[in-house]
Amino acid sequence: MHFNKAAMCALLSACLLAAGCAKIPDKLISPIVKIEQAIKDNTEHYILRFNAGIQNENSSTALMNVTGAVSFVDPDGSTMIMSIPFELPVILPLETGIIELTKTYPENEIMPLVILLGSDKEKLLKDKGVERSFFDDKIVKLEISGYKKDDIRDVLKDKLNEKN
Amino acid sequence: MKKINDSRIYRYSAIITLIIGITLGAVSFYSILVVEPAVEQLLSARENIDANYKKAYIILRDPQIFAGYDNFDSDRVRNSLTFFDGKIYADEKIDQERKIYLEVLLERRKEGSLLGRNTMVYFFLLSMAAWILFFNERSTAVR
Repeated sequence: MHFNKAAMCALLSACLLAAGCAKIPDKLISPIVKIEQAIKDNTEHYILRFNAGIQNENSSTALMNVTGAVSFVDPDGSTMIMSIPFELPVILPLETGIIELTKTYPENEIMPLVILLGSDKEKLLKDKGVERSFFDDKIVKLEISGYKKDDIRDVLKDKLNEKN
Repeated sequence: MKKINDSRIYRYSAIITLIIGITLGAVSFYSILVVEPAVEQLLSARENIDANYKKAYIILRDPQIFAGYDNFDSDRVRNSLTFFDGKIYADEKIDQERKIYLEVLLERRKEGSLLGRNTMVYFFLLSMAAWILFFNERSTAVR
């Protein structure tokens, strides 16, 4: 009888846990990176533009204040080349949040990434930039460090109440 | 050979299926008799369309137990959800032309209620069969 109660409790807890879990985005959709040279205050700089989507696959959970980083790593996973933090205020259920990042770097910081993307300074200057739209999952990684889960019904009700 | 008395099993089966049937029926008929007419009334509004449609959507955003939004039969439901979530979140107006998308969600809820009601009937039939077997077993055991 004790076993039955324990088994029932475990099953109920597992069900509650499963119901309370929300899927958290773990991959980038269509990442595009572009690096261009720019002259700023008579010094060479490089502008990095990064665009990608992250999908909220939950049907009734909105992800609020999503923070994290996009990391570029060596294909063997041993060295992190660059990590760019991002923040998205909200990703509604079944929607794709768009990460749009623009950063300026000096040459010594950007070149390892340029090389990782299969280019070098010479090619970059000749082609007026480097652009890559398809990545190996091993090269570009998504790391979510913070988020808040809210039921979409509560979010929408709050929005309506704010208005009234 | 002594006949095994199965009446206990039949009685428990009858009670369990009856409880499941009543629960499903309660949920389905609450949707059929309370929720769906309320949404229909909001959708038939001629004035203050934006507010009424938003209220209707908030009701429809809570899916019927048999018509959850986790699995989709078509993209119409998904598109309707993302459209209205976005509109309400961004505090944008919803006009009468969008009624058709709310009707898609209402239709899905109605299908869910219907499925719930049919499942209730199925469980009631199971329960009835178990009761018949139970009384039959009890009467043969008495003899």
